[in-house]
Amino acid sequence: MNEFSDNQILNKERPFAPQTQKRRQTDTAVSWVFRLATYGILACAAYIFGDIIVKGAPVVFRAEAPFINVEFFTRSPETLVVFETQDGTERQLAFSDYSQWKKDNPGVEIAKEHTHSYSGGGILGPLVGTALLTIICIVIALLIGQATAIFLNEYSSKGRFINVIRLAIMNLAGVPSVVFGLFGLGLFCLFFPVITTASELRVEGWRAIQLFGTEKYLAFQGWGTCMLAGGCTLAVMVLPVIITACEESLKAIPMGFREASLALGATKWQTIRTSVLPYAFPGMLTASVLGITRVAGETAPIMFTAALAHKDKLPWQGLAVNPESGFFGRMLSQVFGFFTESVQAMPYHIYTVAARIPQSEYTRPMQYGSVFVFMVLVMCLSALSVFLRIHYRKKMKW
Amino acid sequence: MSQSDPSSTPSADSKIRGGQFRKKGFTVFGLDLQDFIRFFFSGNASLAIVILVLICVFLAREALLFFPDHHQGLKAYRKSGQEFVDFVGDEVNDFTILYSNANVAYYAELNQTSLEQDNLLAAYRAVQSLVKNETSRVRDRLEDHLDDLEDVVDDLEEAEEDLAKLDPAVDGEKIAELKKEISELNAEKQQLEPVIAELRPELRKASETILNNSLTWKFDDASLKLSEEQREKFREAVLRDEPDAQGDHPYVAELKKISAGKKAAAAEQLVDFKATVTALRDAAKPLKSLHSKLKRVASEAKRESEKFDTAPGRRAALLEGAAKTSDPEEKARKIKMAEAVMIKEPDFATLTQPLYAAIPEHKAIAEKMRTEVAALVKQLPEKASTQGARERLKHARKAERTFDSTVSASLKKMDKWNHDKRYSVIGSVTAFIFGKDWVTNSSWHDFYGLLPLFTGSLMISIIALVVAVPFAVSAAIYVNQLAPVHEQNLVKPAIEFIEAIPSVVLGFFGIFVLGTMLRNVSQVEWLSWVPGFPMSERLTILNAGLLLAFMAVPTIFTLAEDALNNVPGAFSENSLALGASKLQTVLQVVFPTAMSGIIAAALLGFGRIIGETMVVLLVAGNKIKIPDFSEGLGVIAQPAHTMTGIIAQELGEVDNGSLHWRALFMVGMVLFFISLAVNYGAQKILIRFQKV
Amino acid sequence: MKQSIALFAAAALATGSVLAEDKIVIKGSDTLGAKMVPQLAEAYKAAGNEVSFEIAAEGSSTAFTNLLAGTGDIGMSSRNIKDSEVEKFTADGMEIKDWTAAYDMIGVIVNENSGVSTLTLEQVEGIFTGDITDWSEVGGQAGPISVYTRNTSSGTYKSFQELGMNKRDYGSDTQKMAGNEQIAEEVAKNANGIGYVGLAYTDKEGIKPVLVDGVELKPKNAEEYPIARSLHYYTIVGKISPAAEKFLTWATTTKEAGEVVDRVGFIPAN
Repeated sequence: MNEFSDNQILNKERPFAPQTQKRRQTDTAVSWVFRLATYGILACAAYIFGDIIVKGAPVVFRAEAPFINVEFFTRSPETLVVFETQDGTERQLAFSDYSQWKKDNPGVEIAKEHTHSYSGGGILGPLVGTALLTIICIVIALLIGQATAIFLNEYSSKGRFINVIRLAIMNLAGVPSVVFGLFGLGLFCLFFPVITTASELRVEGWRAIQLFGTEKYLAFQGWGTCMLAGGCTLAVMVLPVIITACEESLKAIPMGFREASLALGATKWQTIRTSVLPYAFPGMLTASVLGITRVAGETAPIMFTAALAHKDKLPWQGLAVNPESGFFGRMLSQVFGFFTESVQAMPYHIYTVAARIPQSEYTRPMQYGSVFVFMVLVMCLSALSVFLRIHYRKKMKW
Repeated sequence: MSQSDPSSTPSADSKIRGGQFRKKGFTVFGLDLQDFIRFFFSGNASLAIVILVLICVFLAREALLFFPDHHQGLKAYRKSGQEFVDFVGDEVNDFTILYSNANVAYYAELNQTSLEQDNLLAAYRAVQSLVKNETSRVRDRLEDHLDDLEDVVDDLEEAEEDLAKLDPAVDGEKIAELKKEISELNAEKQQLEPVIAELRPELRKASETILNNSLTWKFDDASLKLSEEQREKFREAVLRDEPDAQGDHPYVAELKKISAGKKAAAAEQLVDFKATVTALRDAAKPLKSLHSKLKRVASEAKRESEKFDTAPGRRAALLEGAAKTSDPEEKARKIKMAEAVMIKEPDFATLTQPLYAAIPEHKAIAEKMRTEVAALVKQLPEKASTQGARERLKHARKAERTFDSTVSASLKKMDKWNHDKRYSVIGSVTAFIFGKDWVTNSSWHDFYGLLPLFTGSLMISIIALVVAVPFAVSAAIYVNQLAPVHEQNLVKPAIEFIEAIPSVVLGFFGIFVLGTMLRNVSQVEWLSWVPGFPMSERLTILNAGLLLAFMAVPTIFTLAEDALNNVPGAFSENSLALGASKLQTVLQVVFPTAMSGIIAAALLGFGRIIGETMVVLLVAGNKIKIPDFSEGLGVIAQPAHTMTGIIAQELGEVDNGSLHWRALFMVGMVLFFISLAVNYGAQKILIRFQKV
Repeated sequence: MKQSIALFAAAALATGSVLAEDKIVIKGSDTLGAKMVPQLAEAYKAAGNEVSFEIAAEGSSTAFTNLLAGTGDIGMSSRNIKDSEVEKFTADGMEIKDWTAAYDMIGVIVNENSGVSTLTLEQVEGIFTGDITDWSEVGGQAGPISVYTRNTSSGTYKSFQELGMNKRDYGSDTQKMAGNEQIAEEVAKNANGIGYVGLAYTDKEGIKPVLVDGVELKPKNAEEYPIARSLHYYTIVGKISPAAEKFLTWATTTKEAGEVVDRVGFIPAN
């Protein structure tokens, strides 16, 4: 560091001398470089947010009551039809509206009709799909993750087993999401067992086991592309995050709670149930919000396991019921029919509108609107998790 | 953690179990409820291991089956003689590069003379399409009306013709009808004409507005120096361009004529050049026709080989199907079909015989062509007037040398080639790992080579890291060491907040905003020194790299900030006490101490980037080719494909269990191991760091 | 492990027999599935038919993989079924039925500012195989050609290879795009771009179809245009649901369906 040499000589003679002008200038300059880098990052983020908000918010909000574009949230994506009526006014209608409109106005001559896929209607289907996927995922991940965290924090002792588990969790956290997609496809969609009839059987050998006394088979042929498979894949992916967060919440509970309970003669499990878990609840809440944030934005794992570009019904609509089966059978088939439906999902919908359809003045509202809603949703969740963490950390001081 | 675990050692447990405070519970096999609960929890915990193992198993099951299949495929590639034909193919390809360069050089010289007019014409087209797009509403309406008018006029003429043909005495009724029609048509015409007359000036006015706003910069952009007079003509040419305009405006026609004239003149000057280029093309004709002839032979052999490979399966399936059907006719048909399936191995020696026979022919052709091409390349002009042509000629000469050595190599390979030679198993592994082509659904042979995908992933990740690390580390230093507390509390969560942006949203941003922005920026003249600028593509390595850098910043920032935080306060206090300034302390004491933590942060950031899918799928451009490094750093302006991208793009479309499917799982496996290695590396570094 | 056991049980009970009665699952080509079939489906429902549709358009190859796996009722394909694919169906004891959906011409498109407006078929082949790399070689202004093609599962990818490229492989410099619209989009934004799209996608702003061998890309030239093909639906004989059959019959024979096909820019089959 050549530039410092002057000072060094000076300082040797007068160690407590004030720093020179030049020294101070360099200091300021360099810290400005750091500051600029920091704000540069924030500026980029602001630009991205700004762009999406400026172009997306007008789609979602309206100037007059009810201030939001209700249709955008209550309909599923459809083809958009753009046409001109005789008087030269241009109209844009979703396809179903268009058919209705044509029926209502039979005399009107239509000119210059053109269509844009996925650009009409709203985003109800993808929103519902994402919500369902996220719920399934979080329920599974929380159950397993919480139990794992309890084991790691309350039961385990130092040893080889625990090291292997920790190593596994850590490595699981680093696996690329698309690899989870491959795994989910291989395990849940193509391998997990279902009960099926001979006509639906697609595997043979040991993978198809006839259930005795019935015509049905237990077949290891997978659940197919469905929300259950997608949810499980996402759950596996988010597990490390949930485990870490849950464990953190357990660790925060003072040792004294457990000791007091044990000293009163409670068993280990009683202690955990009464003196640990209730206080870990806020932490679990934070963990689940954190998990949802992570999962809701993922596309690659659900691309092959759950998501669909076009589906005109919501997953619970149009479930077939076998009229011959009893009440219980009907219930069962309804429930499992529901879980084995494939769904639309927000991230996949955004991928579709970004990659499959061009940008034009007609498609842009759908494109930016979807991105805006999705981003705001994920950001709110993220903010909520940050808020919860800070809030409970402050509150839970023993 | 063990320190938070008071009583789980076996001795403590057994003491409690025998103790007097213990309630009596049920036991099975000497295990009580507490043990079961304990097993339940440990079972859940080991699920993490189970999942990791399952991931390995499911990836490995498909991925490891890939190699035998791949080996099989490569064996067929050799047996059918496709390998042999590709020796000739290599020659043809290298020649094509040579020829293409020479040809482009010729055209560069030729077009040089009429560059001014061509630029003007290009600018004219650009302005014209701009105006057309901007005024499309009026223009389309005018066009519609003009079409209507044309129809009306046609109908009118027809009706009048019919009228003339009719005899008033006989067809009185019809005449009246026609007359009525004519008057109706006339009315319609009269209605349309004023509308059109109104629309024309409207269109002109709209066009003029656009022109006035855009003309100046469009021309500056094309760096054309137009005189006032020329500019006026230009305006007229664009404005005249109504939907029903016939032919070109005189000015444009003139430009075209001048351009053509100049080109013709130049062609006369360059006649020798042209002759050489044509001679070059002709010299390759025998080789090319030999290539396509051999290709047919090998394709036929390949088809036979494929049929043979699938035959047993087909036959079994048909027989099984026959066993299942109850319809006797159907059964007989299926059995017959099954019997028709050939299970005899095709005789590859006969099938590939024409290839062996072609060796001398090829040798003669190749030797002749080689000397001809060498001579012709020498005849190419030494000097060229344009920079582009000079470069192309240089490339052509270089390509000639490559071609020459390829021919020598091919001749040698062909002599040694034997369709029956064993294909080594290691060969099929190296063909995957070091393979330069990823060609699927091909009509020739599918190649599964990882290299183009791997280099693509690597290039993008490196760019992302090069951008992200300085920013993230600077931000970490600033936030941790230099910023006042209240600023820290604002900036830190803000940067961490970025992590929550879903990657598909960033990909969307890349396509919709960043791509176009980067390209526009790259076309600014004073930035042309930047490698790769000006870019013609929107979806490039650079675009993807920048977005991924943005994604990696929060990861690296958080970890680096942690590392800085972990440096004991005494270090900086000592340094400050010795009289060092704040900055000296940060840069020379704190930063080096946190170095290994920061390296680990960068490594984990790398792991995150290389596994990212959606951004690269949407933004990287999906070109399966090893980036061309001949342009140096300019490589960043090229599109590329990635390992994650190829899985996402192709997995949905392949047959479950096919070779292609397994190849994709194999790519997934490579990704998996990369991520494990990165994680492991980062942990090792961190452990070393903790010891300090 | 309680949860995981529950999971297994849930999976085991998720029987395959609970498919909705009147749901038609259509999978395959993007050329058909991005515009034409969704709109046919919407029009079909608008005409008063009580069915629901699921449409996934990832490429023609997926039509056959899905039919084979039983995960689709109708396969859409923009190319003829390959022999190797027919064999797979035969091997599984299934027979496939071909319905002609519409006719299509593949337009070779360039940026509207490009000086090139006509190409020979040989030049097209040269460009897409990578033999020709600069616009000056085909009469344009100097500049490297950026070639955009469909992804490998696409029927257009395969058809174009057969019709326009003399069955040769694509050059390694080509960029693979997920859909027709995406190709049009990139070509519109890249002055040096060239690509191919179905007839229905050629009226986008910013691009222009070139004349191939002097023939203009217009429905009336379908006979002479060198890169024209038919589009197909495929179903499995005996396994097709009545609802799907009714829909296909409607889609391939009626006038209303023809209007929809015409509107999206293809040439109706009937």
